[in-house]
Amino acid sequence: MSLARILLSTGLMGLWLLVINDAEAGPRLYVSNEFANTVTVIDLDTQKSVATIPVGKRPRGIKASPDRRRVYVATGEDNVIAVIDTERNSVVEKIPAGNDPEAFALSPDGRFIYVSNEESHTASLIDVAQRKVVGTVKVGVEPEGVAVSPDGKWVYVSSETSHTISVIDAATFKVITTVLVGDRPRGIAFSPDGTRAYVAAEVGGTVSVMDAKTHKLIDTITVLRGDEKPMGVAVMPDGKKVYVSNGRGDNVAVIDAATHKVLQYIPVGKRAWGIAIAPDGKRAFTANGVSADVSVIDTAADKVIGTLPAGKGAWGIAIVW
Amino acid sequence: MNRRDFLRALAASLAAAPAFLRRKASGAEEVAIGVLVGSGESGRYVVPAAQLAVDEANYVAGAFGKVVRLVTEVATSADDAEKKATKLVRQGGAKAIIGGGNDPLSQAIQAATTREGIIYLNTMSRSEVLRGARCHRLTFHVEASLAMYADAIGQWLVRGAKKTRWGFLTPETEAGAEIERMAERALRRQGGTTVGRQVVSAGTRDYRAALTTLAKAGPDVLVINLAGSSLLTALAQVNELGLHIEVAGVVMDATEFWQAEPTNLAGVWPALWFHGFDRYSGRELNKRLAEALGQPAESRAWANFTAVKAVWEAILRGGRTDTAGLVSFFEKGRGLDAHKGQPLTFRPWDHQLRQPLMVLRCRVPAAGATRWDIFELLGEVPLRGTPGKSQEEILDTLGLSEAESACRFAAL
Repeated sequence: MSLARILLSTGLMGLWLLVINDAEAGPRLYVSNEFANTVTVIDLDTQKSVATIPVGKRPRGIKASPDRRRVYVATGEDNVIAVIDTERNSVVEKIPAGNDPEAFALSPDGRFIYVSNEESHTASLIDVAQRKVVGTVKVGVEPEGVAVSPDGKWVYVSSETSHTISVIDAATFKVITTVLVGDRPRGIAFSPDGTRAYVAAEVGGTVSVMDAKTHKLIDTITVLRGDEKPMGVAVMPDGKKVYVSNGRGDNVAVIDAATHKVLQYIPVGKRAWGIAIAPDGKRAFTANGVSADVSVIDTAADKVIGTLPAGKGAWGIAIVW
Repeated sequence: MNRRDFLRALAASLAAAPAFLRRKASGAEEVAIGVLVGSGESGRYVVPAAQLAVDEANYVAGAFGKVVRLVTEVATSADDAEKKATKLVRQGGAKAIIGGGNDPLSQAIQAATTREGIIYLNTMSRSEVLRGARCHRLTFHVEASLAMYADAIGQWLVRGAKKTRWGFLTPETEAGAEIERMAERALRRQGGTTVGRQVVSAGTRDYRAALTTLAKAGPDVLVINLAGSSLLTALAQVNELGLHIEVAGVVMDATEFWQAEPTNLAGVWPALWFHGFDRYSGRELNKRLAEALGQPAESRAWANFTAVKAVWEAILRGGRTDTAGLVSFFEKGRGLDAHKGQPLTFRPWDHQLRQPLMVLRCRVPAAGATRWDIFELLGEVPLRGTPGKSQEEILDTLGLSEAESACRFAAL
């Protein structure tokens, strides 16, 4: 056997093993660590950290692509979105993302990234295929949270200092209306049926409920009872419950989506910032910045059933399912 | 009438026109906010910070049918302040005036705004008189009161650092006596004791004998109730004498400290704001303020930014631009977001903004640091664990209580 054949067959074997590995890889969490400048990868089957990926300065917003092959993480002080290859668990490229990108959302088809640019008070539209910013629009001051409606038609951007949601028409990338919500709005989540959007307001201690068809504020739910600083929001796949991470409150508020009542507060790690719910709805996860870990919540019992180690300043969570 | 006079007359007539005539062509209602400051050093931080707040309001104001405009004046005296405040209202169309200066100047603005029937947000004077005997329902205070600063340092040193024995160096002036009265009140409130007191004549520049006498009484803390250049001189003399005793005070102006030789500075001081504060979006605000000012932001910059933001938020959330509407909004106690991590409200009994304060310690800048790096942030007060049934009750551990306050509001 010639050397060329040996190399070729070895390479093909390696490629095959890679494919097998990917196919066998179980669900994983990718946790951005704001102060460690890394992303921690946690295997949910083994409950263990399997990789720590250096990604750049001040990583915060993090999302997985619909095909699971990529995880995007905004590294604000580098002004880029770092792209992680989920097979190799390494950064394979960096996409310019405007000034100080913080949080972002992906279009349902994965073709576009909508990103908030905190310092320039704008939102940017990134064409993933072209790897560049193809649109910018002025929103409020200190934009943070970004969410896309399930049908991909609307992009909501929260602005912390302005206390507003800028509603952007995804087709034209223009702001069509601006809605006043609670003080210092941060995370946004749409209900799976696209009829509601929930906005966590950190200083107001509230969750603003918006009609996502008319883009009007329809209710304000008070979450504050002590130190709660609502930051992240996630909605159950069946749309029945809304989970709100409360930062300094070190807990998660569980809200009944029908009655808008807080059902209970679940104690989690210190400074619960990011929150995500598994696609099967059985588990919710919070990224806890000060305790540098992830709390695992059983959503049937609404209790913490485990704690997984992450990095310093654990901020956001993406689930590769 | 020459061209300049014509333009002046035109501007004045436009400013004095009713609101519906001042609507811009876009249909947005113009809201003018007046800024009036003294001509001293600290005044130069005020307008850029206020303008930043206006610019930020205008990012979204159009979506709510408004456009915010800043009208500014500088006053050289209390008499001048009253004239300029009147001008801001009658010619500039100001719906509110923010700013101030020394106590007489701030009182003059208060007199003018009261007469003109608009609100005044005091951002410069710590005077308890302005909040007490001379209080008025149209006046609100974003700057913290003397008692709040005193309580801040009291909580930090007595409750936090267990430094319970204080000695006071106080000038023989009305202002000095007032500072000492508030500092002693704060000390008693925390259960500490006064172990020495030296009163120095107003004109003296040599505090060494008084400091030495105080040091012999064995205090945990030397509390210096001086201000301005006298304070800087006393601090230099503490260092010269080599006194190894904690130094603290109630009144500190960062802009004055920045001008001093860092090795001559010392002590623990309360502050409204600090340019190194990075919690609750403080880092982001400090960055924006530094860009607007061309240098790091200090307390006055924060106060004036916050005052404009408060007026804008009252208009935005309350939906009214008239005086009764603004007063009603502030008195209802809806929280304001001021980058301090919790909603802030005005106290109903004297219209003082409740807020956490910061505690700073002087330090010599490290090699390569800038001249602004003369403080380190020790923490915030009220201290964590301060008892209280609500955030308001906890914040009310800073400042005079309703029972202590001399303020009695008359109906509007």
